[in-house]
Amino acid sequence: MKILHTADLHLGRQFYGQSLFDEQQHALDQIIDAALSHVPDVIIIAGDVFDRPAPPASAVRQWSDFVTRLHSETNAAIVIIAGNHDSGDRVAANSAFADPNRVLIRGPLTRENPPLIIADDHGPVAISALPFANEFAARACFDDRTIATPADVLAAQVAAARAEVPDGVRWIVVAHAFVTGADPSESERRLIAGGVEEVSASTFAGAHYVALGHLHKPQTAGSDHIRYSGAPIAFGFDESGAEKSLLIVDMDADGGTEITKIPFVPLRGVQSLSDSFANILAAARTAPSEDFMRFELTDTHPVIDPMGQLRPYYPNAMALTYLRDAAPETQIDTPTAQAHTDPADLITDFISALQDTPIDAREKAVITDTLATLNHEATT
Amino acid sequence: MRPLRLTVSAFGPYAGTETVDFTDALAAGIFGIYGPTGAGKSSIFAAISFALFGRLPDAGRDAKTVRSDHAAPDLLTTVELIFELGAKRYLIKRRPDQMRPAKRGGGETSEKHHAAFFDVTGLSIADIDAGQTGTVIAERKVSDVDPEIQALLGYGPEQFRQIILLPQGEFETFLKAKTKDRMDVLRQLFDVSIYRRFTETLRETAHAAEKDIKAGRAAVTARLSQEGHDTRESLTEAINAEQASADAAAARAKTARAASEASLIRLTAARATEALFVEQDEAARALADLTARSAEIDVLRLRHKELGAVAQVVPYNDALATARAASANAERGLDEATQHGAATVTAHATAQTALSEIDKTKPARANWQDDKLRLEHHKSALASAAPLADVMETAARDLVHATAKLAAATQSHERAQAAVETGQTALSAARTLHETHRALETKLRAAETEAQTAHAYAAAKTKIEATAAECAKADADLAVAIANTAAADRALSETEMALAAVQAVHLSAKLQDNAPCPVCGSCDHPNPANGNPESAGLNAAFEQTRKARAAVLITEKKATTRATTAKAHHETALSQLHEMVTPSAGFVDQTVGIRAEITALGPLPDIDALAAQITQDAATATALTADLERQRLAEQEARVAHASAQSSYASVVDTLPEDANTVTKVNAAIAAVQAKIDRFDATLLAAQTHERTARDAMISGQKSQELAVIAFHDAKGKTDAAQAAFDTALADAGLSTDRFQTMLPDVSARDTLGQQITDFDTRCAVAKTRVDRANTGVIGQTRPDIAQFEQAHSATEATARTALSEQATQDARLAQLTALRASIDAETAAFAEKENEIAPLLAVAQAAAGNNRAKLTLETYAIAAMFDQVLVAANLRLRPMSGGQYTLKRDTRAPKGGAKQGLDIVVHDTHTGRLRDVATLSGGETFMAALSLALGLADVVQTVSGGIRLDTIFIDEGFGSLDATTLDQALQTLQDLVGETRAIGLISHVDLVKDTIRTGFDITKSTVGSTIKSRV
Repeated sequence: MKILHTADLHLGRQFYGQSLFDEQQHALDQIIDAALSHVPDVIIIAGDVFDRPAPPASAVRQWSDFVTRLHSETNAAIVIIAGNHDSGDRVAANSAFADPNRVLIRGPLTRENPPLIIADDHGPVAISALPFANEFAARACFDDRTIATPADVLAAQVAAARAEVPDGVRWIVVAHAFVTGADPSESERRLIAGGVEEVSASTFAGAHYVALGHLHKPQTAGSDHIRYSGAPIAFGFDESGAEKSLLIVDMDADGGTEITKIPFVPLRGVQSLSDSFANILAAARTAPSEDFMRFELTDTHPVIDPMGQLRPYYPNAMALTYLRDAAPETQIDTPTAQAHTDPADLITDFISALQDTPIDAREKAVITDTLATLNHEATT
Repeated sequence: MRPLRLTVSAFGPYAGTETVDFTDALAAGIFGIYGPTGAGKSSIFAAISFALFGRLPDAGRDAKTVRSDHAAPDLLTTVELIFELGAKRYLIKRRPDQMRPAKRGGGETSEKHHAAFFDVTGLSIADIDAGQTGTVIAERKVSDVDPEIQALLGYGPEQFRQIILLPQGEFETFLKAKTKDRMDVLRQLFDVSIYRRFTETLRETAHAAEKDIKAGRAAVTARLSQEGHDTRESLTEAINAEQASADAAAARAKTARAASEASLIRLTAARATEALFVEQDEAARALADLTARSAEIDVLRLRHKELGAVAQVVPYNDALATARAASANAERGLDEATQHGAATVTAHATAQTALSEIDKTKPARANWQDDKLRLEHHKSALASAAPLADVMETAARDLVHATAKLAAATQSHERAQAAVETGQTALSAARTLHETHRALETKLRAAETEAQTAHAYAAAKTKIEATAAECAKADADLAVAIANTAAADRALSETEMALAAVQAVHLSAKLQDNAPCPVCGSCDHPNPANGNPESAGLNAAFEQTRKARAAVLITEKKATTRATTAKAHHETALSQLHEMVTPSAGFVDQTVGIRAEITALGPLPDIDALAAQITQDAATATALTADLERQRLAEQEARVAHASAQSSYASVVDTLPEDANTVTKVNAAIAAVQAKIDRFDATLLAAQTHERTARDAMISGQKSQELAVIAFHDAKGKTDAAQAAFDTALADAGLSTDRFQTMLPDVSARDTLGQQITDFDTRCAVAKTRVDRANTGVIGQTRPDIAQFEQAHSATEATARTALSEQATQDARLAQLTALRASIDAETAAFAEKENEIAPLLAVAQAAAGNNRAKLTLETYAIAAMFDQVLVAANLRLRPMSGGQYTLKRDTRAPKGGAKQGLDIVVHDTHTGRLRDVATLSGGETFMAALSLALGLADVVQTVSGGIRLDTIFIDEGFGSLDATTLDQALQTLQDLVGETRAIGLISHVDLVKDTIRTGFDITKSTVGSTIKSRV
């Protein structure tokens, strides 16, 4: 059986204020091309179809066109789940009209989760699609107040799905989660506000292939048959230079898998430059580009209107920072304030800064004496 | 401050009582409050603000407006908040000013703003309710409660709405505030009072020191000018001049003194010589005086001698006088003793006589004794009769009781019998009454039936008359209407004809020969109409009349209908009358009279009850009769007993005499006899004593007499002896008795005289010696002229005095000026020293007060330093949220004019490399900056002022102004912020927020108010 596995389209997303519509369209076209050329038996999209629960109309149309093409131009089965960015109801809207033997779309969380059974030369393959659900919805759906983390939710979902899978059948699980040991990027949103979002790979015990979505970097998670396909395009500057791809998975009679990565050709690149302004400008003049650009200036003094000067060469210049401002990243919720400043020091600084002559010993003595008197008054 | 539970009643859109439990929300760290517009999301935050401070976050809104319009009038608007501050937990309840229905009487009374504040540390939230409210901290008076809360929290409502609760549309207040406003907020949060006190203290000290120095210098100048000098130099010159004149004066004085001393020496010598001569003269004079008196002294000498002799005789004279006195005494004593003796003898005789008289009456006493014995005998007889007396008394009492009982029983019996008789009479009367009543009832019923029939008949007749009248009226109306219709018909046909005539004229005008007539078609027109074809108004008139006729026709139809109806009614009434029964002639309504009679009878008595009562009374009477008999018997017995007791007692008592037949009488008699006996005994004893005493007195009187005689003789002998001695002494002294008597008074002056004589002799001797000496002294001397010497000396003395005083004046003046100069010098030096000392103090004081290059006060600088830290913390959030583009910085550019500087914020845009005013940021950017600032401030405040806890922050809207990516970034930042230390509450209607932050509350709006529910 041949499986085409991709995920995290994030249709409707913006990149530093710039719409990614063209880039995403370019990627969707490549997915269609890959489907037409490799002829998979099933196409899996593992969540985060849209970037927000209420995406812009252009994104909705984009998706609709894509799905229409998939459905009409290929004969493959289609499995789609909602991710943490999606609204489950929106993703599964109109799914009633689809052929239940060919299409499996899971948007909202359901208690029972019958798989899609597809047969190949070696027998049937069951595909369970587990949409992303938050712990509140899971509590209500499974009637279990103890569900508190994505791990609990997924465990419940897997158990429900496994119950409906016939024995001895090859089993594919499609899920949207953060599996322990995998590598996140800067562009993923947390799955739970405060708390553990990781899921152990052992949750999927018994599945022959786990098609994951959520993390944007293509990678394995815990073992070879548990994989993230990664997102088709780059969503942040930390992904500059990384290769984006979709996965073609060949499953044999025993459930063993052989993976082929089909790379995506991006419409625009993503570059992050760190150099002095002069050098950057010089490079810009010689090699202008339409890539998304981020600059980290090493200059010690601020430059006047750096973005304005660079935009003629890099029309998609998005962000600019200074290296000297990149202070060591302290935890954002621990206070950075200095502990109580010694009043004497503060006053001395004040006098020194604002007098024309530097402070002398007698002035210091005045300060110390007065503070001592005030302290004495305060304590008596 | 972490809110734990909020309860609101009749507050804003909440008509009833809603409870918001924040525990789960706070556990999640970040929570949202969602709901449609106007549901009451902001009201939750308003409630928190009101609970804490009594004010709403919207500064323009009055607390009076919070009462819910949907609320029931008897549900008071209250807000109750349980919150946590560090380890302690507090409960605050508040009721705003509101009107409520009055408890008594109608209308409304106003309920004043009431607040109560409790410490509920240790109580779990579930336990806290109306009964259990923990320890009271302050209650009722809002002015007590508010300061308590603000002291605990460390901030007031102004700070609350700028940094803890970012209200809708106003979150940027703090971001865009001017330095002064921002300073006020920060000053309260950061305790920089030490710097203020520092500045104040320095200022005061510097000011005081300067004032001192200035005053001192002024004093110095004043002193100088007092002396008439402007400067120290002129003073020095004056001193020098004075020195010179002082020296000259000293020299002069010295010379004058020398001269004066010399003249004094000479004068003293001359005086001494003069004194010697004077002495000589005086000594001679003294001696002459004395000599003149010597003859007189000799006379005195003789007298003295004679007085000596008299003195010798004086003692004998005294002895004689004494003896004579003693003799006279003894004679007197003797007379007295004799008289006394005679008196005592007489007294004794009298006493003896009295005693013998009394002895004679002794026999009477023996009689009295016998009487007494007899009486005693009677007394014992009476005693034995006493018990009989008791029995008699008892019997008498019994008799009285029995008589009384008998009388009572008789009375009761008679009463009972009377009652029975009365009852029977009443019973027969009642029976009669019942009969009468029944008869009247029957009569009444018959009368009523008759009256009813008569009424109905009368009513029917009346109706017939009414309907007849109606008919007549309707017929008349119909006739009128018909007439109107006819008139209208006529009018119509007139107008029609007029119109037709005109039309005919028109048509005839159009007629042409051999052309068919439009009316009849004939081509022959024999007699065409002619006339005035004016048709103005005719058509209209025609139409009008037609309309009028139609209306009139309608009126006629209506009148016809009415007439028909009236007739029908009339017919019905007539038929009804025929069906009725005719009442009898001469009918009179008697029912009222009969009813009155029945009422007059009054209430009917109960016959059965009466009969029963009679039976009862008869039984009582029978019982009482038996009782009466018993009592009679008893009385009889008592009488008999009494009579027998009386007789036995009398048998004893009758034997006694009249005056002793009762105990009292016999006792009295005995007492009287005894008294007589006692009196007699007493009198006898007295007389005996008296006689004894008189006898003793007589014996002692005799003895005294004898002694007095002996004394008398003794005294006489002594007197004679003394006389003999005196005569002898006189003869020895050579004096006659007369001479002696004459000289006797002067004897006492003898000693004085002797002394006088001795003095004179001594003085004579002394004077002689003096004369000799004086003469020796003046040998070889001449008498000087004293006056001349004296004159010379007084002149020199005067000169010397003048010179000395001049010198003294001069010296004093010099000293004064010198001293002045010295002190001025000392003071000037001291001031200079002091000025030097306080120079650094002044410098620091001035700098601290804002007198420096940057016009920055110390306090502002301190606050600015802390504010820098705040900005650092703020930028930690702002930079990632803005993709590294924006950072907040403090404006340290040169100040313009005199405005206080130091705390203005500017934004540094990395993309342009320039600083921008905060006001140039877009709405969404402003929200991010304000949020970052609030979070940064919360961080720093908590570190620096440990007591102030900003552990919860509330954000009311603002997310709608952010685009998708920024919103995502903002939510990420907020979620990352969440830890154990801080909670964030949001209000938003943006869907992405709702989906991202799932914990929180949903508010549902309905026509009768809103309700709030926890989202699970």
